[in-house]
Amino acid sequence: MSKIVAFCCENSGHKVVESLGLSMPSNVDIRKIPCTGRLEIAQMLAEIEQGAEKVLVLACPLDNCKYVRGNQRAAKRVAAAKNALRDAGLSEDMIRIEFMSSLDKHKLKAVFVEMGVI
Amino acid sequence: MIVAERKPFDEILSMIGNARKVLILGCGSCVTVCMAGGEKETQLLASTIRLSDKKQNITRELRCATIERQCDKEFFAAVANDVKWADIIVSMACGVGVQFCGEVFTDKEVVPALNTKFYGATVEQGVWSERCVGCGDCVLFKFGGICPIARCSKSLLNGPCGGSQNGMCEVDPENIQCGWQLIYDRMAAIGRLDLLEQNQPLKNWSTGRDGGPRRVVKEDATL
Ligand code: SF4
Ligand code: SF4
Repeated sequence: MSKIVAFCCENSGHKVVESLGLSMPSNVDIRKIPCTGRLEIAQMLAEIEQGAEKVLVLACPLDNCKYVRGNQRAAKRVAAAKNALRDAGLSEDMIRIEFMSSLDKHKLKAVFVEMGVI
Repeated sequence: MIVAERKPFDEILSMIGNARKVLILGCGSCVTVCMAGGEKETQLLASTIRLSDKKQNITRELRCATIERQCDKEFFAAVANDVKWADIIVSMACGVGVQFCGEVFTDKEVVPALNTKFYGATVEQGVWSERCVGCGDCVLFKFGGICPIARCSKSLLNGPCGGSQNGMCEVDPENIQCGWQLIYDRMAAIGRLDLLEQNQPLKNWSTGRDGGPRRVVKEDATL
């Protein structure tokens, strides 16, 4: 099973993670952040350098960000981080962003299945 | 400010070549503001190089540092030890900083990580646009404060040309506004269209690049 690091917005993704409780896969490292708009490109790459096989960014649904455009910014930075991965000769699929509300348990589970985490 | 953007990664990697100790040196002034060569950008470049090296089984050490400015000698003292350690310096400053870094550390190879583009302003977040080419004899007062040299694609002093359509320039009608339309609109807005009645004589370009490399001496500031 691959080890992944998930940057979770405290207003959405992190709430989903909390609601999963004990059924949360143990190979996912959670990084709670106030808004995904706070995430830097180099922060995502640093996790990969430090051994994460994949980085997942869990942001609020588009057009529903507490800080208005944080999730849109995160999407652009994820795209930039993917560019850097390509530059380095790695797969851009190592970094992924998903938009979900605090209630989207089923969606997060499906993402984990797709990513081979559970 | 001076506006720049980062070179393609492969080009940077090929300049670094076989160097095994690399100092990535950011600049804390213009290129930090235009998000091309500040502290964040040094980290992103370093991270990408490390990932690429790991993939190719290359052993290389990287250090990142960012100094206040690379166009003033005194700031380089802070990184003297890192420079001593390094085989090569990848400067993330504008072309001025890259050259000055080499003038301070005369025995080191210094290579540019950025393409220096122009003197410009932030027109919206993440978008910069050219405003001046440093002609050395500013004529903005004749054109309502809009530079015909920097903002007309042909640097016409008696414009517009026939390629001005719907406010856009024929050189790139999608993206470049006609500088002369901007000048006209501005002159109309400030009630100075009379100034445009005057034909402008040839400009003396010897104050610009055509006069060779320039320098400014301010006597009361020299030691
Ligand atoms: S006239 Fe010369 S100095 Fe003035 S804005 Fe234009 S290029 Fe710059
Ligand atoms: S269309 Fe306008 S900006 Fe373009 S070259 Fe002609 S006068 Fe200059």
